[in-house]
Amino acid sequence: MKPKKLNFSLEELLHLKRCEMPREEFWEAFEEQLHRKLALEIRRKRSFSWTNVLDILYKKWVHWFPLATCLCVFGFVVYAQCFRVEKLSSRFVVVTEDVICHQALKQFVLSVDQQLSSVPVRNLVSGSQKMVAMDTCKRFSF
Amino acid sequence: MDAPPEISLDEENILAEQSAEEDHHWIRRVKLGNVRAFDFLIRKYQRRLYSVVYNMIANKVDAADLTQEILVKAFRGIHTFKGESHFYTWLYRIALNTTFSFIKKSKKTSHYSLENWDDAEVQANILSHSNDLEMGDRATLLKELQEKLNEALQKLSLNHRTVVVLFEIEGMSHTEIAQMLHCSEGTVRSRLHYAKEQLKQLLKDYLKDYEA
Repeated sequence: MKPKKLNFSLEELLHLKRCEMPREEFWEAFEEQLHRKLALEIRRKRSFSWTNVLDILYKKWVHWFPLATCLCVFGFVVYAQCFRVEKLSSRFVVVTEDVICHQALKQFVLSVDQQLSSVPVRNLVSGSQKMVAMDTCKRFSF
Repeated sequence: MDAPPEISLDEENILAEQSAEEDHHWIRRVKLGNVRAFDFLIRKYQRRLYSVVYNMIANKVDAADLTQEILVKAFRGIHTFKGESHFYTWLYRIALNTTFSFIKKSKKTSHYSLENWDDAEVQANILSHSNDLEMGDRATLLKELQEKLNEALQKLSLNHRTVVVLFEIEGMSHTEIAQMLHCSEGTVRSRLHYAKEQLKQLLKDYLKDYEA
């Protein structure tokens, strides 16, 4: 059924909604319940827990996080660059030492080889020692 | 009965400033550890907050729970309130954000639970707008009108509903709403205009001289 037309304007109709409020008894119960929730909140605030600590730390450091990330990335890049240079230079040192200390190395390898050949075959259980000796001889091809 | 004396704009500003100062006084006390001082703020704002939440979701049980949640959130975060804006702007922002997330979460399961509307003021209003109706008809009309009004409001989008509730029901200014919603005054005005047009269309059977 079509409702009977009223003389309201839209604004007047919406203003009526201001009267849609609970009665006084409701507010007493509401406040009581709210106070209980607030008391719980206060107790939670005062009690110690790791989540609280993490929460505080997070809140305190959250503003520093982007800066710290930038610093970490920058540090890593710098370290990686230095490491690369060091690696290159150490290889170079090895090569030069290889040339300079060729004689000493030759003597060392020969002594290892002698020692290995004096060990009875049954003692070479893993075979790794022999392999090392063979590998050394092959690599340096004396 | 005499009508209440009208308040000029200057007087209104003075009252608002006094109210803001009073709020800051209580906030300072809460920050210093006086938990009881928060009671003053609760009593001052709980009804207004409830009204906003209730008109947004049209469910009195959920509105009560949400209002409590908002006040607990405000208590938890009162140390972060720096006083750069009015306390109520800050509080309403919490209220709106909490309500928005509630609406988004419970979109599919929403149902109405309306407040009593048998207030003397409403009765008088209805009476003045429907002289030719009998008492029984008036009560039926009252119930129907309330349901239709809430239904129409719920059909609006979240942004439009918020603007209508804050401006028409809560009586806030465009500037205040713009501050709360982080948008321009123009946006508030246009949303309000569009929302009202939609409402007029939805409630055309109850309005005078409305032509689409």
